[in-house]
Amino acid sequence: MSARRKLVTGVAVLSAALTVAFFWALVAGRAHVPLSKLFHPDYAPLVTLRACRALLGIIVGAGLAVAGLILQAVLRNPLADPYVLGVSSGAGLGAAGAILSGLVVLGTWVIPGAAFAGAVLAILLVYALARVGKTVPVYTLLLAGVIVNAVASSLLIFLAHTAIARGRGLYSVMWWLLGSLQVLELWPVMAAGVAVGGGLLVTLFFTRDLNVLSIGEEPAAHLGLRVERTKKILFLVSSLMTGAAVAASGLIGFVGLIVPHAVRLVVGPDNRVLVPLCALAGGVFLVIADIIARTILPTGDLPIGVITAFLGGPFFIYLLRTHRRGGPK
Amino acid sequence: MNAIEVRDITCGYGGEPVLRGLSVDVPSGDFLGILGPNGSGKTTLLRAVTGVIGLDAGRVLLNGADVASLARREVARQVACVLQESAVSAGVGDLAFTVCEVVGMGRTPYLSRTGWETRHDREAVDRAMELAEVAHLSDRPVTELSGGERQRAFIAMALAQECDIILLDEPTSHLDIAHQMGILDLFAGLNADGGKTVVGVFHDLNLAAEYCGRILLLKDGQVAGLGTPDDVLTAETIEGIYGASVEVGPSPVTGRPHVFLKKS
Repeated sequence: MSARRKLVTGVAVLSAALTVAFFWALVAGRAHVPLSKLFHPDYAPLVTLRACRALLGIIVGAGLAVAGLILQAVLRNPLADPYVLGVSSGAGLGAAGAILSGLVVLGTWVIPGAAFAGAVLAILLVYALARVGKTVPVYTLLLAGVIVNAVASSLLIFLAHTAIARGRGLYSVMWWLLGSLQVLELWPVMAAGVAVGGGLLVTLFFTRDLNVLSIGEEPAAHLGLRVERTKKILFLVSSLMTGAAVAASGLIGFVGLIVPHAVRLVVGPDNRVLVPLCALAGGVFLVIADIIARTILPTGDLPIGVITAFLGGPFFIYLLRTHRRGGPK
Repeated sequence: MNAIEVRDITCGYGGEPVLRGLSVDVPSGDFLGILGPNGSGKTTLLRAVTGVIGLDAGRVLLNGADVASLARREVARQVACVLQESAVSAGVGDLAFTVCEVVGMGRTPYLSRTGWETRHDREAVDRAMELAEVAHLSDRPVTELSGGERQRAFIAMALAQECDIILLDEPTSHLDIAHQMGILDLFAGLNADGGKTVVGVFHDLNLAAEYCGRILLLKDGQVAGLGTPDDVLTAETIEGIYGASVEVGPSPVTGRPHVFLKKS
């Protein structure tokens, strides 16, 4: 099948899946909303809340999946995910700091704001550490990411330890770190939507560059690519999308690693097809995971990160066993 | 008309110059081999010609135009580069691009950011795959191929760039003798019949002597010899440059100079 055919078919299938998942998210929950009463005024507050939550799932899923895809291609590393360059630990530290310092009383903007600021600081630090002259070698960047992650994690554990000693705040920090699509206000959803939508739009102009970069920087340069400039733009875009997603929903794991791989297993490695399909698939995956997370226990929501890994893992193994093409045998 | 003019260039990595005031002209239609010991600047010279590495001094002209003033894409329409097979990766993880997809990347300098390949692009890809004899492997992932087949796929990618100048950076290292000959026969044909200018870095002196019209010898980033294989590949020059004791005699097949090792 040609790349264009794959893209058209994939977009059609995944758009349909996304529509189904979205409406399922509106009706499913501890309080069931019959499909016939979906637009009934009595149900309006509940349905609106669920719609916002599903929308956030689509935004965050798309952002994390595309950010992971970009980093896997640019770092030429299949283990790369959106959190590998320190964005997550920076955001975690920011959020935990905001919760434990008591600044949260200033308003609901404090936690997402602090998380986003932490993410930006972490990525700037990683970038500064990795820079050699005008270039940013990918291995140095990965190492800098690992180190910043490690240092930030230790600080986070230190903060958690003080929270235990004081006997408060630990639960909020834990809940944030595990991630949730809970929507308290509309603006974080809109802010994340603008950041992820903008990032996705930019990425769509770089899909061929992603292909060329994934065969190596030297061959990419000989094909006429301005390698360092392109890398810089792509790192910036993936970091912003990740930072925005994390600020709005906490650290939802596994999406950014597994969705790109799963889609790649089915349609192949061409990023011109992968970028739009990963965005859609990430959204579908997270909306469904969230439905399960909030309906599986009669007592209350489960952290969505539990579901993404628990469902995503076996599904990925299934794809790996049935769709594998190429590779050493 | 000179395809490449290298004028007194100095360049290197992190302030330490690898090439020092090097000049060489490559006439259109030449088949030039670059030889020299490890670290003498052979690969750096190729990088300077394509402008992938910046120059500290001097300039490089491609068909009369200064490389530094050309857009990267424009350079990639004039010069294609075949790297060592191990210098190109097949994709992320073990999910590899197919031969056809890799060869299609050769069209990058002609395509807009969002445009798909036109019919002309697909024809160029097909022609390149025919020339490099990988058309029958078109839908195979490159990881499934042997080293020789994979290198032919990467050669097809360079040919799809439709450039008049082709640079080779040890294109046959790690390949068996049949693949070495097959690949160099291909470039010899492109040079003789297609009028392409070919400039290649070689480690194997005999291979270079057999295929190249002219040889450029480098030592310590400077020209240590330039001329036909007969003129340049003498026992004294080779001993002087590589510090290895050799004897040189004519090949019984072609009469071109061949290097024999003098074991101590």
